[in-house]
Amino acid sequence: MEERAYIPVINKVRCTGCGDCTIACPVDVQLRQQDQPTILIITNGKCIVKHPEACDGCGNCVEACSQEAIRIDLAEAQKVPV
Amino acid sequence: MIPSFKREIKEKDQTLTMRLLTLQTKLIHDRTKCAGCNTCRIVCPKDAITRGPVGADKKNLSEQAPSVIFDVNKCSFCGCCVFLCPFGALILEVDGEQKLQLKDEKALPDLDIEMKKTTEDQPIKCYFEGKITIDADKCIPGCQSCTYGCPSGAIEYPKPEKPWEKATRVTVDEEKCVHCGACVHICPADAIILERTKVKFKGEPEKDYTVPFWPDIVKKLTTKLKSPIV
Repeated sequence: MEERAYIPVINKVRCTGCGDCTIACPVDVQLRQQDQPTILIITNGKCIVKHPEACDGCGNCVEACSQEAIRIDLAEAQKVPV
Repeated sequence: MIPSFKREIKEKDQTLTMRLLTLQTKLIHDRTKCAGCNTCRIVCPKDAITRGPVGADKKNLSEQAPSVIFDVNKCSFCGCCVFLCPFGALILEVDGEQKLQLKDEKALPDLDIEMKKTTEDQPIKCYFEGKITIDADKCIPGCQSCTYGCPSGAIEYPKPEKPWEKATRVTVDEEKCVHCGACVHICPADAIILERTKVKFKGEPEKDYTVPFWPDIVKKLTTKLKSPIV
């Protein structure tokens, strides 16, 4: 899978670990059906972005999060010093 | 002397600037007009453009990451992307004046354009012939991302018979479709394929456009477009 130019970023302070993001994520819906690891995983009460390379950039997670704890940002490689 | 390069990404636009002594060249990407079709990425001779989070950007959920991300260190400011953007979302300015040197020097021919409109009454330069195929097995019931993302409103989600049901098929109106490919990039299930069979332009080789520059661009545009891109 190609390296994505963007990545979901989670604000750990705001995140409550509710899991709405991974439920709303259309890629995660399919990954769960296929018994494969999901992009977003709730661990120790917080959400982490485990597999950003599978992210389609649809923004469903941003919309679903009631705490505005997740946003889409440029991947580090794209933030070239300018 | 070495030119200085800068890229600025803001909510409504993405600007690449190249400065050499007093000469300033700017490539301006208007995010409000951009449909996320990625035509610019496909034609860029320097592979300086990368696909961004199209779906999130179209819903105004991605301020820092636009639908297409320009690498200012690779961009040669040639203007191919400007010339071919169906939505007029790109501008090339040399010292404040809009200029397309490749067009002046006949590296790019005149396109045979049919004007269509976006859902917000903005102009679309339609110069492709082609076909969209949607794989109903991959399509996620109720997702509708393609219906929101299609700039001309050519894709429709049929109302299901029962309120609790979700339709798995969307319909494409070939009359409205401009074959831009925005839907291919927005679909989170990678269910859409775009086959552009023709790029409509005028003129003869060597006389009105440079060989092999333009034919290479046509070849890139008429290659089957699907996701995930490799």
